[in-house]
Amino acid sequence: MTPMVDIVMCILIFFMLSMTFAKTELFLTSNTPQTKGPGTTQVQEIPRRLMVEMKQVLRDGARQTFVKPESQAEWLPADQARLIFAQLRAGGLSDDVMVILSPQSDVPYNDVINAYDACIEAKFRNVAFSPA
Amino acid sequence: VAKRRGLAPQHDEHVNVTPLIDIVMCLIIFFMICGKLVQADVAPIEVPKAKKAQELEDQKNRLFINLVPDYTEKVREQAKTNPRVYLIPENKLELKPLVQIHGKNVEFDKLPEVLRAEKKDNPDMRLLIRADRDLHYKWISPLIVSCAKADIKSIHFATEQEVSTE
Repeated sequence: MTPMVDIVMCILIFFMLSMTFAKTELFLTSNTPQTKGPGTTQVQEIPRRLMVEMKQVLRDGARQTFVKPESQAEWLPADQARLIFAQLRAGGLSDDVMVILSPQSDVPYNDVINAYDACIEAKFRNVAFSPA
Repeated sequence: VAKRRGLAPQHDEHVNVTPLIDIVMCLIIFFMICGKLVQADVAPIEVPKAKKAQELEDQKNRLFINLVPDYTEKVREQAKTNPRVYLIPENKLELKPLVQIHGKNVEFDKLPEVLRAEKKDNPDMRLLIRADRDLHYKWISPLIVSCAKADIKSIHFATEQEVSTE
């Protein structure tokens, strides 16, 4: 009986450890404008929109993503997205402005999610994605 | 016999391990089934990192969509040119991903149809998108468009917790 108990215990410990090492996954919830109710297609009134373009640029042999809110003239590195959106909010842009992220087709998904995360952090309530 | 011979009665020194084995077996079966269930819905993908992501409280009405980079075609091409060398694709971004729902592959063209059917089966469905962080947006965009066509409003993007360096 003892060898059997040993083996069973080993199997149990293996399963317990392998379950523990699984990563906890988190989720960014979409906050695109909702319809007014079931069966309607009318979208609630959005006072203002802000288009934010995203593109990839080859610089010094490496690809880098840049963003450009329509209110600004120059393209800025995507890793500064948090600062850019925080500055836009500090500059008087209200939280109900609909931010439309418009990435080009070759922009990595990671950079798109980073920009989306930055919008949420800057407390923009309506964020949407435009098709590539 | 021991009593009749004037010897001290012998106690059974073996511990009864039957309940222990029962419990342990139940635990093993539980872990094995849980492992299988999780494997069917969640493919191994490197998801993006985000600071503002949260755990989903409600575990009901969830539909996972996995966008897994498909290396097989590129690897096959490389195997033709040089079968002795196994090369990792230089740019995995250009690869077309496999779309997996309930552990099965779904064609990109059929996504609106499949999502519409899922939505019909479960009107309160919430869509959980799990896509590789290095995939191009051109592969994510059709999925978002398909969700809009299927009238799915509750979309969640799977991420890992980004550790703040500040």
